[in-house]
Amino acid sequence: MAQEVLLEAKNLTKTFKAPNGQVQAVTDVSLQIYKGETLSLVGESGCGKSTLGRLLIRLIEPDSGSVRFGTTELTALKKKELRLFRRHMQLIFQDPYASLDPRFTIEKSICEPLRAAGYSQKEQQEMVLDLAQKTGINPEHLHRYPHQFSGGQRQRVGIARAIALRPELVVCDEPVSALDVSIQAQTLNLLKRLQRELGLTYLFISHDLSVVHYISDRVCVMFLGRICEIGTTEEIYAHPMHPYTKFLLNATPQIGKKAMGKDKLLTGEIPSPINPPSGCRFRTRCPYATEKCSQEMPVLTGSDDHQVACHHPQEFMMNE
Amino acid sequence: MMNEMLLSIRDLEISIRNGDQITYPVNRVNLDIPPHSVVGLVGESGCGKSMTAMSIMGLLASNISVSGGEMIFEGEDITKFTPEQMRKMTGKSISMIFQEPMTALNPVVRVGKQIEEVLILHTNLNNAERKKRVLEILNAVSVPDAEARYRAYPFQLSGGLRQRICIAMAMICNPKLLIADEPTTALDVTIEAQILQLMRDLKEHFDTSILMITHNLGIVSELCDDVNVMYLGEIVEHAETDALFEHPLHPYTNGLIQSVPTMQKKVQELENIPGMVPDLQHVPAGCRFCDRCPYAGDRCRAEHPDLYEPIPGHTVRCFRYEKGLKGAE
Repeated sequence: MAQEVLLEAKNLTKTFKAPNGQVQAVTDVSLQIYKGETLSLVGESGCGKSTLGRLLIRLIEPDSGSVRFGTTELTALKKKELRLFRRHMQLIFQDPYASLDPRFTIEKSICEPLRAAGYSQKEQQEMVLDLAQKTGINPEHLHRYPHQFSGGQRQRVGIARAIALRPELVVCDEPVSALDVSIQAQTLNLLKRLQRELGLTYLFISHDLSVVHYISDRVCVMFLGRICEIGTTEEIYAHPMHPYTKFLLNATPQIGKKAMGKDKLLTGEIPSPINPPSGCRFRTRCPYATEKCSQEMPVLTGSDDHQVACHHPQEFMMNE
Repeated sequence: MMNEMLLSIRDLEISIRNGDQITYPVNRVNLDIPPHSVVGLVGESGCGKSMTAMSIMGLLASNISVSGGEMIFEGEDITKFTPEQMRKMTGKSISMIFQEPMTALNPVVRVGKQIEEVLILHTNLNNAERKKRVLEILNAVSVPDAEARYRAYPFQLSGGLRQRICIAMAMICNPKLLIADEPTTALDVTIEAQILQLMRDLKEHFDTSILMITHNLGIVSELCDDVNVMYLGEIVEHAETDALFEHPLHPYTNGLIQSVPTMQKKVQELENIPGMVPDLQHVPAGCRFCDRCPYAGDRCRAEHPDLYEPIPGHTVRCFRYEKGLKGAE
């Protein structure tokens, strides 16, 4: 497939200081996001998916590595240039209540990016009405405050604000995790519709593999700051090659699925990102780990449709 | 039903006083928990599922009270219990685990001592016997290195281990009923799978019935023997798990199931339930679901439907089933 690359990250690394050492949040991650697609980042708490999402739009500075957005070298932009460039990349947060100013009316919140971009009052008003209509917010409610809204409505405001400047890329960080299932479905459908209508590209961060299956074109599975496996949604769900991906899929409760055998459960806990295991970071939980896994870091290999970082993906498949 | 229920809730009504205003978050709820079974209670935020659980444990806040109905547990109506009787029962015959294990544990007491508190209240064991018993239960809930964990503080443990500690505390007196209120919602998916497996093992090992309160239909499908679906303070459908998922009757249940994305097949658009749950001050006069229901007619807006039983063992609160399954076709 000759798809146009919207964003390309090369060898991104980010460590955070902690009282008892350095947290290796993201280690040597390279990936591409194609124009118009939804790429999902999945993994458990602390795997670095949110950090990676923020690195990709340079909300936080990487220790090393680079990000190219279209033809622009994002990591080389000066502060002022970056500010102007921000309109192309926006973010939707998990908790819309925490991300909206409680003293701003909904209208003011949605207007903020428009004002920052220098639109006139009149233009702003027209655009807000248009955005409200696009995201299913009742225009009569624009003068209300966030606390008068339900979680689902607030998330619509978050979405309206994020698309206000017609960005090319929207990073959605667990946008439906705080919502009830019926509201979650409404919100997911809204995101899909907006993507079609506005030609948006999504980076969708989630821990919910069912939601990811529904929304994504491609999926990237992370474990302790590294990519385990990346590929098209069909490939990842039908032929997972990394043991961790397989365990994640097995562990996700599904309607109509009966409990799996104990042998299919992943044992142990997630190791600390302060002292990650040598070699493959998953090896301490992996039933297929060998001597090689503790010595050598596996690298991503495979086709464009499906890449995996595992020393024994074939053997793992045979054990199925 | 023929067999004796472990817990039988009849016409439970809970009211919240807020100044002059009274609202009813739980309205005439019937719920049966047979022995040796896992019963699911599902619904969205605010449907009253946690409130129902809290009322069983006698844990309602001071402005909230059980204003009607009865809860028969082993032949006795626990709504009539004195605080003293409640204290003797909770933790011993009925115990509960919560969504957030960190807030359920005392942060400044070693976890072993916290588990022992249950034994101090409910048994006459001496120090050494209590410790032995705690180590046994820690092993039973698969806490690795139990001796060391006995001396740990909650903050030194991971979320999964903390939940295991809470489960140990709940199970140590071998209760007849364990109420689990969203016990895995705060956990990662691989840890969630471990905890669910543990609950399955405990049910077998201790012969404890479980009331599983969750919003996650996948968990219900994997764990529960039968399911109650709640909407806005009422049970709208009850059936065996497989029957409910294969043949949901209530439009709300159906909508919920359709709203959940599945990994089995890829759909272009999720079916969803329009609108949102009204608040308790604006409960519709007739069927509580009528404003969001694709089948709602004039009668639904005026009259409140009863629970009908169009299939034996499968009850539903919807007029379409008043005359059996035919009405819904």
